[in-house]
Amino acid sequence: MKKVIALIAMAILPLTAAAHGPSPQKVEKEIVIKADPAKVWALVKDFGNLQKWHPAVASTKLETKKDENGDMQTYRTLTLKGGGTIYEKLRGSDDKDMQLKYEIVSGVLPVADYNAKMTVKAGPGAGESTVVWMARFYRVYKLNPPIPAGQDDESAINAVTGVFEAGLPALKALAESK
Amino acid sequence: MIALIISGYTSLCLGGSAYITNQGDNTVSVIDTNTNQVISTIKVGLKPVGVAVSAINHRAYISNVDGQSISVIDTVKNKLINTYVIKGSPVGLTLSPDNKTLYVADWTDDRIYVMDAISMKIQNEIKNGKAPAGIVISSDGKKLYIANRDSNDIAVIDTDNRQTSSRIAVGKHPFGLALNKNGTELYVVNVISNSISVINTTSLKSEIIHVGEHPYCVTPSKDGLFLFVTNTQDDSVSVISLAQKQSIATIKVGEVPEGISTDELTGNIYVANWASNQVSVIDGQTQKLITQIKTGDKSRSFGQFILPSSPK
Repeated sequence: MKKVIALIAMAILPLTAAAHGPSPQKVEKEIVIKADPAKVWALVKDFGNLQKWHPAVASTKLETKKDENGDMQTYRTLTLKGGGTIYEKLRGSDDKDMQLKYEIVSGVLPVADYNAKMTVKAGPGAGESTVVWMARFYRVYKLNPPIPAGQDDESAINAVTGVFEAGLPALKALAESK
Repeated sequence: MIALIISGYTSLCLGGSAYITNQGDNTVSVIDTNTNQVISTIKVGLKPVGVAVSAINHRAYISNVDGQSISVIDTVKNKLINTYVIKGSPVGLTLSPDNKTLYVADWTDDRIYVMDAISMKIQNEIKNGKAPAGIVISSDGKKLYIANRDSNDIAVIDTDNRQTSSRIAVGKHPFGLALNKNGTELYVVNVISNSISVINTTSLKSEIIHVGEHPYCVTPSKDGLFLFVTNTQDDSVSVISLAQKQSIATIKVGEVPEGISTDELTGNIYVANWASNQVSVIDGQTQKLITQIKTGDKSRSFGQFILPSSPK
């Protein structure tokens, strides 16, 4: 856990909206939770309360405002326990498919063009849920090699893996508590 | 010996072949579009993405974006011939109609390489807009269209003198491109705008049609009446009626669909799903999902990736 916070805090790099590297990266993790899918989905879809279950998040600030196209959108600012913030935009919350989609607008993770989804599925057993967390993103460095330390594919993958691996067991613990 | 070659060759000619680049394990899966089975898996360079196929040269060309190279596959034997190192980050590929010239878009260094498609020697470079992605060429070979992702426009290049004859403003971050069969319309996927630009290649006027989230690539149906567009962040394919100029259906496919091509024999549509490591096959007539085929890790297949079956 401390390692995750340190890892996230280490990488204080701004995101930019320009071209990204050529090869998207993927991190996908899943966990089985002994709790009803509806209960798990209620926790997952609560976009403004990530601190309730993610151990690296100290607080979440939710806001609604117009995006660059003039459409009202939901954003959150995650303040991390290890320092730094991550600013995210809600892209979709589907009760039927139990799927939450969001993207990172800016923040301390060493990634670019990051979008992710969390899906809650029923099973494998009765009264159980499976949560799948998948992110697609690029490394920070956009040009040809040599790639500076901390801006390569591995740094990006390690940071996102750290976030997922710290988060999912904590989500499970909360959902399975009474 | 000759009989062996002929019999080996004939067996591969029953259906078309779809060449699927697998970014995650640095391979190409070859799918027989007659049986919808993977018949071969070929090791290529690092992080393969783009594909161009040649029935004349019996070759498939693969851009390895992190390998900074082009792999060439013998499509009769489905074996790697060689991998050619170039400078930059090759993504989009297209062949001249006579298949003598391969055009390679270098994403990072903002140029198009003009290569001899047999010797693989670089003959020329075209410098144009920023982050060139999809490239296609007119059926007479005279015009090369380049999607400049970070310039938000399409460059039209006169291939005789390699000069830019026009630049057409489109939506945000144009990526995949396709032409209709007679070359009168160019279809451009605008990734950030969630739309397609339909460009009249004579007047250069364009119309916008809305699709799903974060679209990547487009292919016209065999009859040319519809467009199929991959929506990477909706895990779906939009079906556009060109007569109605709007999306008329959405087909759920695998996760994060990227490359899409039409099999000209059957009219089926093949979709490479990056996040679910598979290819979805859609019936071009009924516009329904037929089957999903397991491929390699992170399938992409950017470009026209189906080699039609050869005439008997």
